[in-house]
Amino acid sequence: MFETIFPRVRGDQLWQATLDTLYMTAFAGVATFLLGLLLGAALFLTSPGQPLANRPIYALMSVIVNVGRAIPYIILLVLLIPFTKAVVGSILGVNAALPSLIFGTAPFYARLVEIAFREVDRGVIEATRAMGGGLGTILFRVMIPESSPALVSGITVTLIALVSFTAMAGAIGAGGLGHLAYLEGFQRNNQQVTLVATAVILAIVFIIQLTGDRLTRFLDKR
Amino acid sequence: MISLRNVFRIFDDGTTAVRAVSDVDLDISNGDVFGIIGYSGAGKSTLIRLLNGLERPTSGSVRVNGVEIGTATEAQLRRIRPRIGMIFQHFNLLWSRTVRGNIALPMVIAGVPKAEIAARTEELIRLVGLEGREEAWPSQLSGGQKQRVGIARALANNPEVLLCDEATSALDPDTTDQILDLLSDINRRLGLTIVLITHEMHVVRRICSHVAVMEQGHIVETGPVSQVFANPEQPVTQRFLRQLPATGNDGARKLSVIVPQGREADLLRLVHDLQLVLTPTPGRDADNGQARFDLTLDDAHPDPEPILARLQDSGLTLAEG
Repeated sequence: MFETIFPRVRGDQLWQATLDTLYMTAFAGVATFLLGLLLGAALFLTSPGQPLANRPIYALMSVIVNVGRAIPYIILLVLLIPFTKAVVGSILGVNAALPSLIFGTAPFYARLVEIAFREVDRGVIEATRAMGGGLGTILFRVMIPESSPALVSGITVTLIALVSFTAMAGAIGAGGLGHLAYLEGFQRNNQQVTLVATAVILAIVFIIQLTGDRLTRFLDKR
Repeated sequence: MISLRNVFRIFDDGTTAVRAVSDVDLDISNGDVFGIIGYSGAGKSTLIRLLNGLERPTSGSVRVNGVEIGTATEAQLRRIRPRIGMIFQHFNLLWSRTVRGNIALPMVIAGVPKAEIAARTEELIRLVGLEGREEAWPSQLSGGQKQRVGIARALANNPEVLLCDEATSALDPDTTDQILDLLSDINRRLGLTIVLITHEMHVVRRICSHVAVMEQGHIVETGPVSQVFANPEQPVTQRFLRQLPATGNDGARKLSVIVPQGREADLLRLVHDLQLVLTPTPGRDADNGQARFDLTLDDAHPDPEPILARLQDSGLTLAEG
C-alpha cells in the first residue's frame, strides 16, 4: 500500500531517520529539561527580591541566556563545531547534533522556567518559610509542584522547537528526518521523500503537543 | 511569652525611609488572645512578621519563649518556626496538594515519620471539622474551609503560638464568626497563645483578651479588651470602636452590666460562651474602678433566662434597659 502510493520512498531509510530524529529530540529534550530547570531556578532565585538575590550573578546569567537565545540555530551549529569535535569526537551523526541542540534550547527553556517560577504565589512561599522550610523545601516541594503546569507546557513548546532544530542539524550531517528530506528529497530531487518526511515530523509534533496539553491539564488543579 | 523591646523596623530603599514599626514595646503572656488592630499601613503586618523572623527588626529585641528572634540565624529560625504557627488572609495553601497534603507539609518539613504524619493529619482534620474533605483540592473548597485547612496546617507541629495575619478579612461575616469561634476554641483547649492582626473591631471583641492599637508604626494604646473598650483614650481607638454596631435593634433586650475591676475576662468569656453582643459604653462608671457594658440579648434567642441566670451567678451586676 505505502509502496504503491510512494514508490520512491524506502521504508527502512524512513524508519531509521524517524528513530534518529526521536533519539535526538528525546536525548536533547531530557538534557534541556534538566539544564533549563537548573538555570531557570538559578535565574529566579538570584533575581531581585528573591532568597538568593544577587545582582551581578543574575545579570551574568541573564546575558548568557539572552545571547544563547539570540544566536540563530543554524549559526550556533557552525559555531559549536570545534566544541562538538572535542566532546563527541565527530561532527557527523546523531550524537554530534546533541551539544548544539542542548545549547540551542536550554537557555530558551530556562527563561520559561524563570517565568513559571515567578508566577508562583508569593504567599505560598512565605507560608513555607513560616513553617520552617528552607531553600530546598521551597524549590522542590513548593516551586516545582506549584508551577508544574507551566513547566510542562514550557517543555512542550521547547520540544517542538527541538524537533525543528533536529531537522536543521540533520541537513548538515546529523541524520534523521531533516537529513533524509534534504539529502534524498532536495539533492536527489525526490519530492516524495520530502513529503513523507514532513508528514512524519508533523505527526511527531502533534503527538508532543497533544501529550503536553493533556499532562498540563491533568496537573493543573487550580 | 512574647516580649518586644524598643523594636524598630525601617524600610529604606535609599531615597525614603519608612518606619513600619517604630519604638514598639509589647508583652504577650502565654494563653492570651492578643489582637493588634490598625488601619492598613499602620505596620501591623510587619509587626506580626517580626514574631517568626519573616521580618528582621532594624533594632530592638524580639523574644518569643525566651529565644531572641531578631538576631537568630536562618538555620535557627527554621528550628524555631515549627513552634510558631501562622495563618494568612489569603490562606496561602498549595493548590497542588490536597487538604491532607497541605496539612501534612509542615510535618514533612520537620521530618516527622510517615505513620505519625498520617495519624496527626487525621486528628487535625477532625479538630477543624473537615472530615470527608481530606482528598479535596483547595480550589474545591470555600473560603472558610480553606482557612480551616490553614489552621490545621499551622497547628500541625503543636506550636505554642499561633500568628493570624488578617485571617478573617477575606471571609463573609458568618464564616468570619465560625473561624473566630474555632480559634477561640483552640486557644482554650490547647492553651495556645494567639496573636492576631486585624482592622475589624468585631474580631477583637469576639475573641481577644488583650488588644493593642497601632497607628503609624507605633502602639498607641494597649491593655485588656474590657479596659480599652471601656476607656478608649486615643482618637484612633474611638474610631475603631465606632465600627461596632449600635446597641440593640428593635425587639432586642438591652441590659447593662457592671464589671468590677479584674473581672473583665470573666465577662468576656461569658459573652463569648453565650454568643451575646457586647457594646461598651465608654467612660461610664469607669472612674470608680468598674466598667460598665451594654449587652444586647438578641430577640431571636429562644430562651434568655438561663443566660441571665449565668450572668448573675458569675457575680456581675445586671440592670435592665
